[in-house]
Amino acid sequence: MSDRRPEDETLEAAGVERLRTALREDDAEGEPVDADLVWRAVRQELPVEERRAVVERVSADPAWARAWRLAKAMSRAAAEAERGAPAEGEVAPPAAGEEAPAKVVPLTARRSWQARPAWAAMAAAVVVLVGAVVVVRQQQAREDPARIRGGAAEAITSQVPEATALPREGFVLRWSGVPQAVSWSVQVSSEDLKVFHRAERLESREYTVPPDVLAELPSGARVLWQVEARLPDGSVQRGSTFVNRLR
Amino acid sequence: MELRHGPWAGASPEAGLETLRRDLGRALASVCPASLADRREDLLQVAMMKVVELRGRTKGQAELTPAYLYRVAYTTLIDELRRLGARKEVALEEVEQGPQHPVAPGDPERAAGAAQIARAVRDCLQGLVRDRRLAVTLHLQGHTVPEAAELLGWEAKRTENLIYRGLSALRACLSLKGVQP
Repeated sequence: MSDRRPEDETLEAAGVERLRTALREDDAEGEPVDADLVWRAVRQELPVEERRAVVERVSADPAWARAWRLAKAMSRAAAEAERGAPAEGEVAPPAAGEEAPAKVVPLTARRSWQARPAWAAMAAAVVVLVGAVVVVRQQQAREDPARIRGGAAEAITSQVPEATALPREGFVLRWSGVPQAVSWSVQVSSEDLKVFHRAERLESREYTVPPDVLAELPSGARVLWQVEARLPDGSVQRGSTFVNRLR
Repeated sequence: MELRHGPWAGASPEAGLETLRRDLGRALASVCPASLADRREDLLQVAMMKVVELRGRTKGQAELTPAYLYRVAYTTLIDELRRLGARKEVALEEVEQGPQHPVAPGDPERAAGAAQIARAVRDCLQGLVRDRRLAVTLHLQGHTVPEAAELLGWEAKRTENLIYRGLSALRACLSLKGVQP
């Protein structure tokens, strides 16, 4: 890459900075933001074409742009928290895309290392040992099912046996799983997959389908239901579709 | 609950929360418009309460990584910002005709001017060829050329050229709208 900066001949750096300030100061409302989508785009957890689609929204919408800046700042802070923030007096690690400054080692120090191969061998052994510990811990983390990493979560399971026929006046759906869910939605469909009822923001793992929405279904009809868990980070986890008959 | 990584490792959960609170405060200060400056502490408090509540609810069941908690704080802030936006009564002042200049943060007298400039930037971006628009958008969001290249899946050299040409077109468009960056 050349040393030329994009703003050298087109917009001076100060001009770009003024535009950034104006964008930041803009408190226009914009469209509702899919915060989870923006977060995953910033973290490069989405495929590149989807990331570009999010950047398109950012270019056109002040709320999406605000969310992008916030996600960028929080994502960086999270990364530093994960790897350990520098202690006072230490130099912060470079952000993504920045080059780390070369470390200048005094000549005397270099000579001292060269003169002590035993020390170098011990240091190498320590590095290998630390590396092995890190690998083992990473494997342990991967194997730990209780560990939450955004998106990975326990499945939603029906607590109503599938063979059970439920009465119209007590068509009670129960489920388990996803302990971190903050609310639930239930979608009820007929056998031809037509959704005829939906309940939002439920706080318990149980829902009674109102009898009147089942009124048009004949006895013995198969009722399909699906549960969605709303997670604390705003994302949604969908369960499988379960089936119970109407008595 | 154990938090394994970074400054969270070996520290009390409260120390991890303090780090999160500090980072949230910094992020809010760098992202929120000056018009929301008096709400920053409230926003911070709501996000921290959400994190603490979540940790309490999952205590003994799951281990929450810092990345996860930061994400929770971020989404809470977005929800709160949306809520504030919905309640806000906007009283935009008429802006003087003629060239406008972006304002420094915290200058309430010219906040409306900043909004108009931001709108002009968005309009002009929409007139750019898509690839230039995407590259310039990330540049204006504060990303370096290598970062923008990685996010958009392009070579750094190509991304740099897109930004260069895009900024040139952006300046021309803004000039036509009477905005001198």
